Amino acid sequence: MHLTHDDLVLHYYGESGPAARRLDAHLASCAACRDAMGRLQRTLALVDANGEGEPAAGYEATLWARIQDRLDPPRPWWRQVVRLDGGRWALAAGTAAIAGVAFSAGWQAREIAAPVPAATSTDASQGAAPGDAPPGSASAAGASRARVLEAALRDHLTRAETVLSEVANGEAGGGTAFTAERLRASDLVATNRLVRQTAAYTGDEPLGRLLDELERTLVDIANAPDELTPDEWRALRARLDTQGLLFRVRVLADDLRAGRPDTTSPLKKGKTS
Amino acid sequence: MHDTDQAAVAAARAGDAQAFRVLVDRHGRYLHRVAYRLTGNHSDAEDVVQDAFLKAYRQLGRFEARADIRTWLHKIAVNCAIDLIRARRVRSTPSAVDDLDTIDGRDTPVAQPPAPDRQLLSSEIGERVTAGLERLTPLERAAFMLRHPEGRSIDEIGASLGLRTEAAKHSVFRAVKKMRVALGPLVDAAAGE
Repeated sequence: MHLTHDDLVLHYYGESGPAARRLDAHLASCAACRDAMGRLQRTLALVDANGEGEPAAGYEATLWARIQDRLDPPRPWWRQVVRLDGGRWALAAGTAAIAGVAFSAGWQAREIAAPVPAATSTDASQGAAPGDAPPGSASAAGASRARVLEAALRDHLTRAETVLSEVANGEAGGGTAFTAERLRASDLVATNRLVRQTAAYTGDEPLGRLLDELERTLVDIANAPDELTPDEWRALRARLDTQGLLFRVRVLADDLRAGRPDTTSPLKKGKTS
Repeated sequence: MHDTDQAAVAAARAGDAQAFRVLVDRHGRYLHRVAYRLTGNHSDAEDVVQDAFLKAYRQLGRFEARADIRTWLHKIAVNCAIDLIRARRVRSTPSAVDDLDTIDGRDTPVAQPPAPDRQLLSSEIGERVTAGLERLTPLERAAFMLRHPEGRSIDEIGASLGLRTEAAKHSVFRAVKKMRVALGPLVDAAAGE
């Protein structure tokens, strides 16, 4: 039985895998298949010899004329990696604040959970409203932490809303540049993780679920190629539509910005345990 | 000034647009040939090269100074061409010529035996190769060119073009089959000399 066209093509390109030895043996013993392989090699050699695609004379000058006005100044490598703009610093500060508060909340929880002497178990904060707590009490500290968390959450959601809006409204042209959205999403992933973990710690399940969905979407955007095909744009947008993610992020961010009382997040209430 | 690519890259990275022009002059034509092989027409090739240079300029900061700029530009241009082909693929409908059963030469104009004169043969090779490539669908052409001159594996081609491996493989099979039909008479003529 002779080798097929497909066998010959795969073997020619060195992609016949484990069958390579068998195909070599067959070619060595079958003149017809050897001839077919020879014809294939000569055909593809003709393709190699073809010099098609040479642009017209003066092409370089035309090319330069088309691109010279569209050259954005290149960024030095350290700017591309670190991007030390004001927004980045603010984000870093917010992240540090969340990390600090989360750590502090965890530390305090350990202290509360630990057995304490009877003399100190009548803490003034137990059973009292945050507003009634004297300065320096655990409740006052909790309210202060909640304000920091709320500010960090508001800032984070505002930034996430911007990224999601850009994805939702982006141009779906071929090879659309996506670098800026990708970098911004990448910046937001770590912050989102901290906020989500804090929400889980405080028992805010609705917020935790929202941040979980947001994080998965941000990771997808951060890992997307620098330039998106229309298909990839559509897939990302479909995901935003399906989840209603942008809408929900926008509503919560608006509530936090407006300081509306119906924002039921325990973070806002100052709940820490 | 800017005798070497390294010097031109260093100056361009520092914001010297004229140094970047040196790179455009040196490598634009080469990139056009690469882009043309993949896209099959000069207009798309021009767009691809233009996008590739704009992207390269933005990303010059990431370029390893010791690397070969032509290799780097080549990769960017191939990726830009793949993006364009994938975008076109979404909009286009499958061609009737995709059916393997139609690729047996019966629907191909019968090639006349080439003239014995070698000069004529050489020019006919170019014409036949061009005609053969024009018979490929955009996807077949891209798969074939990524496999043949670019040397990418079938798996890589599938990943690049958003195809399953089997589909990428069959695109290459169909392309080679069409080229064999188009170039068969020339191969026979060359063998008979």
